[in-house]
Amino acid sequence: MKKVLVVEDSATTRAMIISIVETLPAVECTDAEDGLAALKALPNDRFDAILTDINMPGLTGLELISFVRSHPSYREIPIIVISTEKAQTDKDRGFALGASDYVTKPFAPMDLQRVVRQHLGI
Amino acid sequence: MDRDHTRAPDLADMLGGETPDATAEDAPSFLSFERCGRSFAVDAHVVEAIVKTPPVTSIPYPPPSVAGVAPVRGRVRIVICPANEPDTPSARLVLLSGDGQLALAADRVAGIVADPANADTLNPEDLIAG
Amino acid sequence: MDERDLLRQFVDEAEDLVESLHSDLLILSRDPVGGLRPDVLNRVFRSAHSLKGVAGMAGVPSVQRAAHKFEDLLDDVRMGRVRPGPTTLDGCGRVADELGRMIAAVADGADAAAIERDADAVESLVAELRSGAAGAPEAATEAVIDLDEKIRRTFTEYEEHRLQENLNARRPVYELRVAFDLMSFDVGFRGLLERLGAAGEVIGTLPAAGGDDPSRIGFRIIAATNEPQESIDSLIGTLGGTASLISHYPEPIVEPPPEFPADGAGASTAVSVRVDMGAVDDLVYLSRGLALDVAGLAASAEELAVQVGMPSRELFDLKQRARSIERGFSDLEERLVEMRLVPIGQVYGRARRLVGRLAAELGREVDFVTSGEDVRLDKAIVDRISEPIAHLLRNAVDHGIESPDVRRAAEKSATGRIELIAEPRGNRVALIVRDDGAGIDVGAVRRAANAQGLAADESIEAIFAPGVSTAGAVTEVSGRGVGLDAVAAVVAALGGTIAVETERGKGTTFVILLPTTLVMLSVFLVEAAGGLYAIDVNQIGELASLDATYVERAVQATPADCGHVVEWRGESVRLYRLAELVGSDAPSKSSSGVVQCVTVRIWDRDVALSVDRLVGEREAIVKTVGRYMPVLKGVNGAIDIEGGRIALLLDIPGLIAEHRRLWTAAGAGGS
Repeated sequence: MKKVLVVEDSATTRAMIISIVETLPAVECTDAEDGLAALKALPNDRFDAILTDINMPGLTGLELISFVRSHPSYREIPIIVISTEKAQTDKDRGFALGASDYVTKPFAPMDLQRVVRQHLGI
Repeated sequence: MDRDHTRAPDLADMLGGETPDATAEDAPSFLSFERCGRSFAVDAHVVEAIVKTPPVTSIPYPPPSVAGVAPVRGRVRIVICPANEPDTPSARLVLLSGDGQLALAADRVAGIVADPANADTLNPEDLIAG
Repeated sequence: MDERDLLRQFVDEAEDLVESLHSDLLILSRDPVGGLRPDVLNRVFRSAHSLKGVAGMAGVPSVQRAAHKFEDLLDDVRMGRVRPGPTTLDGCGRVADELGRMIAAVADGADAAAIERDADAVESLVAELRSGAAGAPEAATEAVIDLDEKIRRTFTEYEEHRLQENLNARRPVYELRVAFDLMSFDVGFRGLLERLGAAGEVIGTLPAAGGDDPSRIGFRIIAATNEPQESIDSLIGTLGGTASLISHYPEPIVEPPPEFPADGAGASTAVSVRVDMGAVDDLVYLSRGLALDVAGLAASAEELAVQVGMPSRELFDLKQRARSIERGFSDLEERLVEMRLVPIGQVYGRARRLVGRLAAELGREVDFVTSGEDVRLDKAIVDRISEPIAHLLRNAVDHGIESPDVRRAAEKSATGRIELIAEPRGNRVALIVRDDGAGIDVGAVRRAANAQGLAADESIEAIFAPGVSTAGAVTEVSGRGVGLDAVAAVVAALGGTIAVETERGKGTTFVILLPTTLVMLSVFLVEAAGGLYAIDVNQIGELASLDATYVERAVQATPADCGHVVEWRGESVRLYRLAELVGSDAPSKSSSGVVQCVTVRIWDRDVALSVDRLVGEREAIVKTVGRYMPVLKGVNGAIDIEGGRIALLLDIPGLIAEHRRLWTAAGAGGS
């Protein structure tokens, strides 16, 4: 069973991402409504991938990426940024901080599944 | 949790203990049932449960297919007869999921099929709107 | 996810976002135009951004496009590329209004092309706002900032901009370092952020592994504040952290910019979760079901206790205990029903903008006064009453308040006054719309009513009848074919009443009386055509017994379409057989020579309903029949009765209207 952490402040988008990702065989999602909730969730499970939005209240996606990449227990986890096309600069910063991939919102379910599969190696 | 003792035994046997929505994976599947001598089918993914028909209360000026309303599991369902014979009592109700609170009157539930070739396939929305 | 679930979830979230757009814009409206609070402004931006995102995900391109344009504008404002003018906030409120209407249209399944046109309207509104605002030059800073590149790299474009702005304003900027326990850091961390936000502005945060201790998580926080360094030191000191000043300005600070006041609502620690209304209703139903079960169990136990000869003292205890459980359930029920209630003030903001805009369009001067913002009503009622309220306000501005010249000539103040008041009245709520305008021409109403074939003695209440209008001319504002009859119909469907008082030259007052909730209701049960039916007791005038032969004669003498005419307390009253209204042809049962009736007030008159038996009054939990309830004519819900039976809650005006419609249709068909 592969575990995926989905970090997104919109409940609707979060539910959609989860329903799309969970149709992949043997994939289970945990959800977090912002960066802080994600930090809380990280120690509770061994995650195989993190999907995160950038523009969130409290702690942004960029700050989350930076934390994950600096932490010895989490730094290997692939991080896929799911954000809107608008924030080109933020996208570049995400990659600079160590994001593994980028999916533009809104996305086709197949595209998200393809990217997630690739990083989960399934 | 109360699904087990309210579900119709005929379906329970056929599915080997599986509930209809547990089969909701990907392939198209239909629940087929009989009503007033005709065969009907409905998308199995929208079926919530099958129960014994409780007392049905008739309503003023019902649309032609509506038998009335019935209390099922705390909610009030609109009972629809797909054969447009709302006055004929039914043995089972096929509960449909969603906020429409609809139930289809059935005499006998035949089973889950992949291809409802010989049955009228129902679109629950049309039954009440039309 | 199911299409419809997705759409409903989208509508829920989108409504929330528009709601927070409105409330944040309201907070901003109290700030000086040049000093909008950046955190609130950023929240406004983020709401528009989220709306765009969620509309895109849910496949609602019109809302996505409109929200996108709005987001772009707000981004430019928050990034300082566009400087807001005096009308910018008001314009943003109009955009939020428009977005709210689009979402409502999506929820109602309105025509996609129409919603696209609304998106066009938003687009041009945003363009207009842009042209009204000025571009802002980026000020050069001479500040030196002593900040680790690592932190700066995690900044979003916006955070970078906020850092620059604070440096330009010569605010002291600090880097705070603090570590928390990994399992419980969020409470302390959020508390710290709130505290810093109240004292100034949090620019960015960088979490980091806690060094030697894997059970701890460290944070570096960049914050700007004018508070003295000692208080920052002591704040962070109590958490075991350190603060260092990292901004250096070439000369001393001359004039500190105004402090951003703490936003009271934002700083509160109240926690809320979003709950689906259907889930709350299920809990209400469940609680009522359990209460009925306990009552049944108590009755059986009592019977048994008497049979085995239990001492009266113990029997008393048993009853007491059963009663206490029942009371517990009824408390639970009430608390749950309260969860459905929201303050009516939610619609006031929209009402205020509407009145302001119309007054400007029509050249009226209007003081708009509201009170009773905190009065709470069922969310379902608030949602449905906001359009009728808007209609009454439109009428008040358009047909009520006169132009300033006319008012002066009539020796009134040039500025008219419109009030929107909510006040509790027993277990109901009164919504009052009052204006001090020209009043309604009662004679004109009467003539219009006569033209519609209504009786000449109809009072002013005839303006609630379909097709009766007092507007001299069809104006841009009110003449849209939706009259007061539509207002009255919504009010009646909610189980409410509407009344009007008017005086020429002095003004008009509408009073709408509504139930607090649609879920918990006092009903009167009656039996007719073998079924049990419930009627809202607030609609019932009185109970009456009429002589059976007299009723029989009246029934024979008059056709049934508008009710049979009977004399009651010296007045002509229309009588309907309830059995006939519910579509049954069962003959009425009257063995004792009397016919039992209830009188029901419909708008301005009483009608009598004859029934087979008067059962009695009770407190009921009204269950919804779901999304298709409007398809079922004359039914407002269902009520559980002992023994697994159901009593339908009747919408009497709806039933009578349907009865008349079918009668007329049958007549026209030649039968």
